[in-house]
Amino acid sequence: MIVADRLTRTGIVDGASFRIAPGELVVLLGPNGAGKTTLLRMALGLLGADGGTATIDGDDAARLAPAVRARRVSYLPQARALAWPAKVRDVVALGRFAHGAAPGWPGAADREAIVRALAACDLDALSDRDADTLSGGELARVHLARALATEAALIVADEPVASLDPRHQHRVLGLLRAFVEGGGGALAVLHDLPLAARYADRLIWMKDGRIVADGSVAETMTATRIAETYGVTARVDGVDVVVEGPVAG
Amino acid sequence: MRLVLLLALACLAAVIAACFLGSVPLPLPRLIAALAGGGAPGDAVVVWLIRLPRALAALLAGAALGMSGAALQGLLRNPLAEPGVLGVSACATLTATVALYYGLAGAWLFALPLASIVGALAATALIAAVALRTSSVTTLILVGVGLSSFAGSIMALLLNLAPNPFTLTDMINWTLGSVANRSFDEIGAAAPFLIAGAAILIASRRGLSALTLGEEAAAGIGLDLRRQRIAVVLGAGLLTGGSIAMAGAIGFVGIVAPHLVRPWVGHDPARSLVPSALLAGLFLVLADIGVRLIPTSNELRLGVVAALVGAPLFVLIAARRRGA
Repeated sequence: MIVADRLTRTGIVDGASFRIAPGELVVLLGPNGAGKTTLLRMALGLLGADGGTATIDGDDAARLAPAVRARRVSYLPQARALAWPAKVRDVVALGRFAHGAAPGWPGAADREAIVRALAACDLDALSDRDADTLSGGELARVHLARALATEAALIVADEPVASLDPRHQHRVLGLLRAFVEGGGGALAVLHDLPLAARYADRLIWMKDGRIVADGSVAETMTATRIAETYGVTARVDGVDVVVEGPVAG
Repeated sequence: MRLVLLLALACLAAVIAACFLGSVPLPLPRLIAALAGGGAPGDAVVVWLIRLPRALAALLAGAALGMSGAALQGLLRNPLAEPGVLGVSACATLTATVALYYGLAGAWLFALPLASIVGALAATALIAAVALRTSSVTTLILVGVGLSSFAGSIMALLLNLAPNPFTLTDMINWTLGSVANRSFDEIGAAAPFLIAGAAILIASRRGLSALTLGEEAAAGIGLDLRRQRIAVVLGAGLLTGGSIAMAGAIGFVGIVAPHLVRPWVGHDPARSLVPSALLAGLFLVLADIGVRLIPTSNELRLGVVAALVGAPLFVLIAARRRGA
């Protein structure tokens, strides 16, 4: 469980508090520049906070050893580019890094976790391909498989469906959904409101560095909030959200 | 694993060939007798005091550069990173030259390796510090160009002010790179640093695989970035410094060997360290045999030959790169 308490980074994030626990898929919403990535990085202890605290399973996130933190939370940042054309299997194997494994020498438990993650993300056929020959959608699945291979209780994904086609967007969120159904917890940053409404158990809304709302889709996904947060008009009917266009003026 | 074994055998064969070949003909039975510690005293001198130390110096100098190159490329996530390109070699050569200039090298066996290592570590640390602030490898290479030019200009100054022709020759030899007339003393003086550097890099190589994902994601999967950077800077600095103390500045080996090895190890920087070291060592032993056999009035310098082969390959790799 991640508990963020009044996390502050001067000028970017202002007193943001939230909790993420296994059993729910939480979507973090907010316009570009709202401070979402900075908040996630502070909550994970990857970036120092100017104020507030974050704990992961009760331990101060900022002081947690990197490998210990990684075994508790898988973090998928926005950047997906790989420095080298590594094989899909080797990229997924990196998900076992925190368990002491490396692509060159995975242990028995690591191999099993890698096989499970590849299968879960439907990557068996691609496991020997070089990652630089994959499409954007396939690569997104590879990174998700890498996060699953860690077998951490939580996954934090920063824009996991950015620049994917609709089919792959649903596929990636379906995988996160399945992870949550299996007992995990996930926090994903999304920009697609209909997608968020469809898949999220809970929404956290962020604007100008503050969390402005935190609750279920039914409670928080309203036309007024969408207009206030994003400056667009929208029609909301249950989980059906249609964004119409910029607010006049 | 098979690749490592193959390269290790090739290195062994090349070192034996280096003992075998040369201006004094040494038939195989006499070579084996000399290597085993017997045979004619003259043969033993040729093998143990001239050819074997020379071949070993080339092997170790190349291996050190190959491993540094592979590690720096892994850290900076760029196939063009290499001690020479990043200005590390130039700085190490400069500090080695200073040690020669002031006669320190003659006074104390470890002065030369220590001086080169100080220069190499300073340059590697500077590059790593700049790498913290920018993800642009262009910037890093430009900093390397700046470092090389700066070190080069101070070197020119030292050459200009050299007190006597002997010092001048010594200094020029260092900048050209050569393993001629090396003894086991010099290899022994550099060895502790080479062993330490290689041990640090091998111990931290797992982190280089993690960096394939980029720094942010590498930290996300549990890599301690700070510790990884320090380990690579220290390891590459010790190896480059040790190599330059033995053989002077030899460029481009550290870029070519990892480039050739990478496709055979699944483009995994961790698995490329040892094969890159072996291949670079092999290359320098073979190049040095070439240097000795090519009949020129003045013996060619190993560094010159290495650059003649390596520089065009560097240009080729750089020109074929896509993206940043």
